[in-house]
Amino acid sequence: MAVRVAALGGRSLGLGLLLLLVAAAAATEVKRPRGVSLQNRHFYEENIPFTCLDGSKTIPFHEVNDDYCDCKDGSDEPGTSACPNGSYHCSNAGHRSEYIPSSHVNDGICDCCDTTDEYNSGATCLNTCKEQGRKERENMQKMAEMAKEGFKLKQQLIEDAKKSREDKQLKLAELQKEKANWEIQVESLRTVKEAAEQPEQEAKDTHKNAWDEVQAAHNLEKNKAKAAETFKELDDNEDGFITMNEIQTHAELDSDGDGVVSEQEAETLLGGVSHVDVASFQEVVWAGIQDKYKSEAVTETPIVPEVPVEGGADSSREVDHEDHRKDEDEDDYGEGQDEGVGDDDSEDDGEEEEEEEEEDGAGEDYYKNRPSHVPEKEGTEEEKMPAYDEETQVLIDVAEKARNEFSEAEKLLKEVESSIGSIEKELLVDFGPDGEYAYMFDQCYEMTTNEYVYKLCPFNKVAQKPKHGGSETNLGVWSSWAGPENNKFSFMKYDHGTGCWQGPNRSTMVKLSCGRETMVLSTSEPSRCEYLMEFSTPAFCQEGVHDGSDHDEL
Amino acid sequence: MEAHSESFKEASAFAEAGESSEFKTIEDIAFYRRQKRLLPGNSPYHGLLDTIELSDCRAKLHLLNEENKVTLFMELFVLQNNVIRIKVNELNPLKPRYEVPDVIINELPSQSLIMVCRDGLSVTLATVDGGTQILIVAKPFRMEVREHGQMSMSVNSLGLLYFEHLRKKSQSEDRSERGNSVGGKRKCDTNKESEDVQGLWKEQFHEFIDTKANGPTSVGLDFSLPGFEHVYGIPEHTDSLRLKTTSQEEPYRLYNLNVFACKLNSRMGIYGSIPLLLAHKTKKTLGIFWLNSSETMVDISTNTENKGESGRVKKLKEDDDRPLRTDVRWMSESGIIDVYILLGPSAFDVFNQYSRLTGTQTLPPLFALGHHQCRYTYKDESDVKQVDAGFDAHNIPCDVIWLDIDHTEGKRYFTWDKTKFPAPREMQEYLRTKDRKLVVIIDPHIKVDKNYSIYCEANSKKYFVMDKDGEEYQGSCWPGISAYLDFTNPVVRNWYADKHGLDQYKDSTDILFVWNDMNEPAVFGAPELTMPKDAVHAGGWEHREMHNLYGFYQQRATAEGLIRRSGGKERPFVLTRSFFAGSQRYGAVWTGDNVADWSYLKISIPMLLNLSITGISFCGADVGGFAQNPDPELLVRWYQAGAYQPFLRNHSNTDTKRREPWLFGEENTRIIRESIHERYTLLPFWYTLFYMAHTKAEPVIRPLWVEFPEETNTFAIDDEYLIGEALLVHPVTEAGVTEVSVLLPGKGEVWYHLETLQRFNGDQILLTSVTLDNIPVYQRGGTIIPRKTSVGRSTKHMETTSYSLHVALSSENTATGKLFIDDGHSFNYQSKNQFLLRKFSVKDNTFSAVCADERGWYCTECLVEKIHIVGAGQPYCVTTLGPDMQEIPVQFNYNLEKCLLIIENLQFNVGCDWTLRLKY
Repeated sequence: MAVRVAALGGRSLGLGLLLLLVAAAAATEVKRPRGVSLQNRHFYEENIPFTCLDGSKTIPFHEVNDDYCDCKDGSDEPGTSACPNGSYHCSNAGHRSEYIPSSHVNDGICDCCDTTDEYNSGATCLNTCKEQGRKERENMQKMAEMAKEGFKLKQQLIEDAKKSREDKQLKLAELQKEKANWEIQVESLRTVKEAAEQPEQEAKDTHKNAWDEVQAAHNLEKNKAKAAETFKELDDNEDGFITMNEIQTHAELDSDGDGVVSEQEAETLLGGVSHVDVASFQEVVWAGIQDKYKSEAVTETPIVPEVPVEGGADSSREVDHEDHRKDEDEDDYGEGQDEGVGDDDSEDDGEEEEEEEEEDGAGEDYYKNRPSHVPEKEGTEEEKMPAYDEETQVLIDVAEKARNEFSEAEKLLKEVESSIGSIEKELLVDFGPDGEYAYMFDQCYEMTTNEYVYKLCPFNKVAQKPKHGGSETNLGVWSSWAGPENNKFSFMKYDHGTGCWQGPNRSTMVKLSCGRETMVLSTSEPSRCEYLMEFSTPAFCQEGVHDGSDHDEL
Repeated sequence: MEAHSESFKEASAFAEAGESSEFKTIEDIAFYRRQKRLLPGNSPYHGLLDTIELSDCRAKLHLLNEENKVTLFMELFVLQNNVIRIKVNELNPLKPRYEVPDVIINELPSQSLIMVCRDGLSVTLATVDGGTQILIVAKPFRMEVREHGQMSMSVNSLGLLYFEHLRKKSQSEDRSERGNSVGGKRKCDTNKESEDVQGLWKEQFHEFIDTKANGPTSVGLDFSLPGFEHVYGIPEHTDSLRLKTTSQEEPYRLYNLNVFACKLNSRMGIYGSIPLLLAHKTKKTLGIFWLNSSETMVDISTNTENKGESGRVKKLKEDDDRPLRTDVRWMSESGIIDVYILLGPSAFDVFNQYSRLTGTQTLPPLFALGHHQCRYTYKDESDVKQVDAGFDAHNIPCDVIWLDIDHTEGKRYFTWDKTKFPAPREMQEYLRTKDRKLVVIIDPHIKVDKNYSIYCEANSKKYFVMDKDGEEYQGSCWPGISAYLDFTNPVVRNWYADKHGLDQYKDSTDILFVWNDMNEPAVFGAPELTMPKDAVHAGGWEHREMHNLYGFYQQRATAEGLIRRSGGKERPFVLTRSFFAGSQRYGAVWTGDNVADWSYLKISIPMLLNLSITGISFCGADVGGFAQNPDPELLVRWYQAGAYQPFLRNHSNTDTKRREPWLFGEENTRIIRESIHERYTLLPFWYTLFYMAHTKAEPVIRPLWVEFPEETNTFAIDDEYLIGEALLVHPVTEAGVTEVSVLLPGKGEVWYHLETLQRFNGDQILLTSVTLDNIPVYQRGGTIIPRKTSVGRSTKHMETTSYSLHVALSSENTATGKLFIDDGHSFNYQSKNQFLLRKFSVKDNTFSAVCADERGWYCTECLVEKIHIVGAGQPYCVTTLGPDMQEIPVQFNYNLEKCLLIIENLQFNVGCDWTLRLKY
């Protein structure tokens, strides 16, 4: 069926060409005032007073084209430049007729290919209608052939798309089933896992509680020893009592921030009495001072935060920065401007930002590095909890197995779900009235210019990459079909690309045209950071559009 | 200033200089701070009357500063045409001080003076006819200028004469300086500190240090204008037409700077400077032309303004009963005092007096009055061709397409980018077939590049500005590191002019014209984005002396180059961004990097008016706004305004959307087309006005007060203006406007709406409704405007198009108008008198066309084809005189509703004398 339709398109093209030629031959025969189209001829009847087309005035016929503008709408001077707002019609035998502004008549510049607009200017114009007409017809023929072939290919694409869509739907149904199965599986494994985890947790808790008790006793002991030691240290005169004087020697115990332990403070520290013995020191005083107290023995040097070492995180930051810098350069000079031209300034900008970033970055590194030291130190000081007893270990092993089985099943379920998601997403994309654009999904098409490789991945993104190395710039991600209402599928819009330096995010309009091949024909940047890409595809080919029947007068 | 972030073109400069403080505020300007310490009161100067000498048609007098005992030497001239010149220098300067050269074109003959009165306290000098008298009071020194017994102004009556004499650096100053540089630390030396604050030998702004080889050299003087309340001029500022007082706010600064998207309603210095101030009151206009090219500040105050806190103003309180007065205080960083008082008495007299000193507006080639299309940047040759074709396809006339910096090979001016413009000559030939021109940008900075012939040559010849240490000064601009040609040197200008020759400028043709941008000069990463003041020019002069002249000189050299290119035959077109007094002799000026915002459209009117009344008639603002994107309504309104402004160019920055006039939908394209068509239809009128500006120094566009000097309600109007004397234009400068309030001035006069021909009486405020289609424009009763009957794709295409004359009758049923015609491009109007100046008039029901300048003759085939007379009654017959004086009736129509008489189908050659009789 597709073939038959295409053939019809071809025939109508031939007929159009024939009619065009006939019309061109006939046009020169019909008598009418200069600059009047065949359609309008009846308004200009010889020797009958002429009424302006807007009805504003009637003048004798001989005043038509007398190089004096009578009518407001310029209709009395179709063949001269007398009226500011008139238009001149050239028949352009052999090619397509057209209107030009009256002001272009006899202005020394050849506008009409049949030269009739320059009948009195002395300009030497060549009649190029035949040549232009021939070229255009050839061109149209080529286009028509291309359309024909393209349309044929399109039918195949439509069928492929249909089939692929059906396949996908089948696959989807399968996956849905699979998913349901996995869901059941996951649920039952979850139950097993939970059943095994409960006794495991209980056994672990018991084990830990026992250990905690041991630890607590041990710590208490340690603390007591420390208190005793401190008592000794404080008891300068070794009389078995600590007096206010003795406590006053420890300025760090100052509580009101004046740097000195007053008698009153000392008394408070000693629990309201003037001296204490070992027992009451341990019971009453020690708890109050143990956090502040500094031993008189040589104290450990405090831990100095280490200076972050170059390399590691830091060097990756450098790389980030380089990228950023390149982006910026592209923004400024990406449109093929000379290297080394005016960059001095932008380099300076770069440097400024660099400094700022370094500061920020250094801060981050500092905070990142610190925590990694702390737990380690504590860990070494701690004594380790003894291994679980055999009974507990068995429970743990059982639970561990259940957990593994459960997460394995869950992972598989997620995979199925993600497959479903991507198929559903693809099925939701509008691939055109008959799905003819579906074949481009997951494809990318490249075009190389002097400086860049442009990449169009339909329904995904557009990107630009410098030919001689450098990172890729996103020129927009798939947004929607963006043609006019009556031709929605003539444009694709990609937006929210990489932000321009001090400008908008990059975006690209892709203009589709009919062609045998699927390929990017051209790219340009009509406004800064707004790209236009021309893209040919058989999917855009229409049936019998290029039949050459542009409105010519008959 | 949000605009910064939007722009690329200058953003780099901004990013470098920092956000908002790249330009100085008054606190940063040392000489201003020093001068402002001198408060109004008794001047320390004492006029030594014994030293008065009257000879060589001038008076000479010594002025002694009683405080520092330094003597100044004053010369006083009363020049022809009612101009007084006061020149003050040191009597014995250590070395010569800078006197501005090349701006004054005519040393006007001076009149002899006689001493009419003398006592121990004062002397009165007078011209021989006694019309002008100058009273010189000895102690404290002051002067009064009297005309026919009336005091016109007084000089130094506030005692603000200020003159820092040249001196040797004292030892202590030297020591502390050296100590400073050796130690590198700031020691708390009180002496040193106050010196730093004073900035006598050194001044710091941000990281930049200005070394002052000559020490302090600042000069200043005050002028009091009795009875004046309105002052204008001293462009360029983004401020109102009428200057504001500065006692509570910043002073007006004249210092040429590259300011992107300048802040509005500001007195900061921007691209150009004209130190001419006009003062107006009913029955009298006068001007003060302060000829100084160093950084200059102007303080303006009145004795009526709100006085309060500051003691300085309080001093004036006792004047309260006195009549109103405006005081103007000029302060310059260096040079001498050389001031011309232009005594009017009318505004047109002041224009004329000023033009006799500095020259008139050069007569532009006709194409330059057409429509210009520019963009930063048209990418390549095919882009140019597409833009060109777009104008034809949309039937929008256009005369010139412009290329910004990217057309060059790496911003090396006078070269072409070979990949984007492989065949520039062919491209120009193509434009020539359309009778269009090409304008290319040529900035003053020259890329430092040993392989760039311009650089090499200028470098080896030492044609660049030097730094303070005698090395080639290098700064950063578009090409990167650049050197700056020393245009103040006539040898360099001569050499530079030759670079425009068709033989030297490769692939240039005679349809290529030039645009000088960035010529303040702009230097990125430099103090205030310009050249350091201690850079050194030819003759050893510091840049500070002539900073404001740099752009003036570049445009001059460029114009000379273009004239020379044609063997002296063709008129040049050069657009400049930076300018000084006298720049009108070399071409056009535009208001620089504006923004696509209604406020910038609005400010373009006062900005252009202040340029116009200070000599620069050929001026315009970028249509649509250079930075950012205008919405269609703003663009349409801007075209409508621009079509009625002298220089009409659409220009946009590289990061904006394309802005060719057909890109905004059919309806907007139509309206824009209509306004540009109207512009082209009116070109004979514009061209004639430019001829009048060129020959008579009449500004092409004018503030209302210039034409209605006795109507005080016009004095501060700057939202509307006149083109010549005939058209009143009120641009719409707000979004969504449906009504506009228009002041129609002129008691007893009448106005006709240009389109509806509705008649209105003058001296009223009219509330008129507007649509997007047009802006209110009125023709003044009593005027005749020549128009073309149709438009072509460029001015050249309208050469032979017929004329129609649009007459608006006055309330006395009279009207006059003029028409100037020549070949539109050569100097033949001057060298061979090949021109026509026609005068049309209607009087006693007779329309006559006569020659207004018998010297000229130009052969043209052009006809006068139609005459529209609005405000006329219906005649029963209209006749003309045949060859043997018989009366021949001619065809006419009468529109009763509009009182419009249309006489059609005429065949008068525009060069011939003829008459028409309207018979009633």
